[in-house]
Amino acid sequence: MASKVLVVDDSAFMRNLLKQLLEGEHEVVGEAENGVEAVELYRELEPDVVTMDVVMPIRNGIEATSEIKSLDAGASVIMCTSVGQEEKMREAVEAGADGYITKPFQKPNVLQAIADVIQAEA
Amino acid sequence: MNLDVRSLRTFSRLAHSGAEKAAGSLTTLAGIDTYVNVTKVELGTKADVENEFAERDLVSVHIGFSGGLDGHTVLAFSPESAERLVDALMPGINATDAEGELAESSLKEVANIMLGGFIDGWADYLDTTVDITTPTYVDDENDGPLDHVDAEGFENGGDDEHVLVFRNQLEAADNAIEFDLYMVPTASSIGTIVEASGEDGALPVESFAAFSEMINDGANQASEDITAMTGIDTTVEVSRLSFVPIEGVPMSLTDAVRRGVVLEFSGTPSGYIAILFDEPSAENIASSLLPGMEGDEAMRQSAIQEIGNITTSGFLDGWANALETTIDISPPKHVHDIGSAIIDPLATDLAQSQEYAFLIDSTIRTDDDEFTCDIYALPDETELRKALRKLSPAA
Amino acid sequence: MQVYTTDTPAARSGRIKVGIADYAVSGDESTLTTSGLGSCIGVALYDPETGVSGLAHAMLPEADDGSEPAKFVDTGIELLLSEMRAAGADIDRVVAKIAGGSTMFDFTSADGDGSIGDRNVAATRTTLDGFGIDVVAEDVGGSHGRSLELDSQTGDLRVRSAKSGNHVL
Repeated sequence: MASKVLVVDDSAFMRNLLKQLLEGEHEVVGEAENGVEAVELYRELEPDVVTMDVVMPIRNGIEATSEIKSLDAGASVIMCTSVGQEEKMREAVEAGADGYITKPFQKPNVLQAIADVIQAEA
Repeated sequence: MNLDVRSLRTFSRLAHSGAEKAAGSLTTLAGIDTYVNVTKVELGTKADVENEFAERDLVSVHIGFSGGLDGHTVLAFSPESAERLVDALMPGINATDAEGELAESSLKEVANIMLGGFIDGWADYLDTTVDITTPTYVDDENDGPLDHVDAEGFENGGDDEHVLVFRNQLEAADNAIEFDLYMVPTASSIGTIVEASGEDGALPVESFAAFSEMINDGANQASEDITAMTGIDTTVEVSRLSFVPIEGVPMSLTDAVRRGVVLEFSGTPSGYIAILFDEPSAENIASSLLPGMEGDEAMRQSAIQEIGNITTSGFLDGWANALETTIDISPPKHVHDIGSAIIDPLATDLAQSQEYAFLIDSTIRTDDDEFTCDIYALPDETELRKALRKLSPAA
Repeated sequence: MQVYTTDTPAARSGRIKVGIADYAVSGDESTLTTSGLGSCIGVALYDPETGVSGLAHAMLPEADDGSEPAKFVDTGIELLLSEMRAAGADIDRVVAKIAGGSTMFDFTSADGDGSIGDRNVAATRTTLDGFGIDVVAEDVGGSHGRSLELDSQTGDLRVRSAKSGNHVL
């Protein structure tokens, strides 16, 4: 079943790539360039899933994830980042992330991650 | 701060595995096969690093890192390679049109993914966490391509201060895209890594710096000698000392055909030196040495040999003086072959007794690109360490 | 939290680059390439039945304990063969083509055993013989450098040199 996805990444190229990758599978309902926009758009659009970059200007993805989770404990957030350090993954867990994809991602991984978080919620 | 060969090996291994990971990321992202040709730990001045960027008109993306380690990483491309890479990422998008912003964004994201992956291994090795900044795009049209770096990364002091640079030469899509991945840690971060790997029999970093200056002086002398012989003004474009896995030495050259000479030197240190020209450069330099004698191949070969001889002496005499020793030089052997294959036997000979090499490479060129001359010197590692000990401040 | 990591990708362009002190195996139609052979030796192995092929670029004849195996002829060939076997090759069918091992300079360090290039060629023959593998074609020795391309589909080994141009083994 198609889910509503909010794509958060400061790179226009990466947002584009995710949109292409999700086309026909899920609906990208919004795009945010930083953590502040991400929280605003989350409130407004109430997406099923958020793909969240970590290193972003203004507010990073870890902080934005904590905030989204405090607004809506049932939110599904998948970190989508080039940083693969174990310590960083622990931070993501603490912030409440539901999944963690390392870039460059492969389409099956992204679709699997979305399917997993949606199913966990159901 | 002290440096020893063991910590240099640790550096080299970490950098190489980071670069391999970064190369794999690009292969996945762009669908083009990417390889790490060589990982070098270079010791040079900040001015050297900046010069190279300026000379090659590099387009670069910069990412800073801080936390358990502090410093700067840079992914640098020639403008042509950057264009080809953008095309591989987003076929049909022209970097110069209105979509230039998307092209820039794609290069930034490539850097983000590659440099992020590169840093991960260091953080895990040191059992720490390293934060990275968002990428900054710098092209050669901005005034001073390294202005940004000045502001945020290379805070190791004035121009003459030495920096340790981890430089990985990568290539993709069958040599069509060539680029370098640099990492420049701050001096205190180098200390952190050295401590983690131990410093058995370490040499003060000043002796490496002193040797690096000796190399600069040698390259300048060689450049003056070439100018005196040919009557053409030449300058030293780059001159540096790097620490490289021995098999990486030939791999830092391409398989383009080169012409020049190979010599052996003996003393403290002993080793090999190659003075190589690309083919047009060899033609131009022979013509300038032998005006009106274009047809005489034997004479041209002799001219190349002689310039190799003189360049080598200019390069090495200063070392002998600074080290208060004598360095003997063998007669020059003329070579005209695949570049990497010329260097291969030199590295292989040393590979019998060492796994890593100190590679010295300098480039001398004319302002109008009439010719470029590359000097590669490969001293025996044990003997070079002896020489470095002589240069240490305590000696 | 589930972590989804990226798999290491296989070569895309159909060309696999083999570095120095390196080797690679292909089970499909890829071309294996290596460049800059001076005294180093290139060993191309091919199983005509399955099309599994491999290329190694070794620097020195014999490995010491604890050294990097791909750097040496004996351990490099052994490693290459075990990976080819894993990819479906039958060692009884495998044939070899070898190139490289030249003597470009007369270094003072060369002792009575001959140049490194000659020793590399000799070690290659001994090692292959030990596995019962025939050398069906070769371009070794001399005083020039070589670059190689192994076509995994046909087992053709293209040799490029600056002096004598290209030819196929």
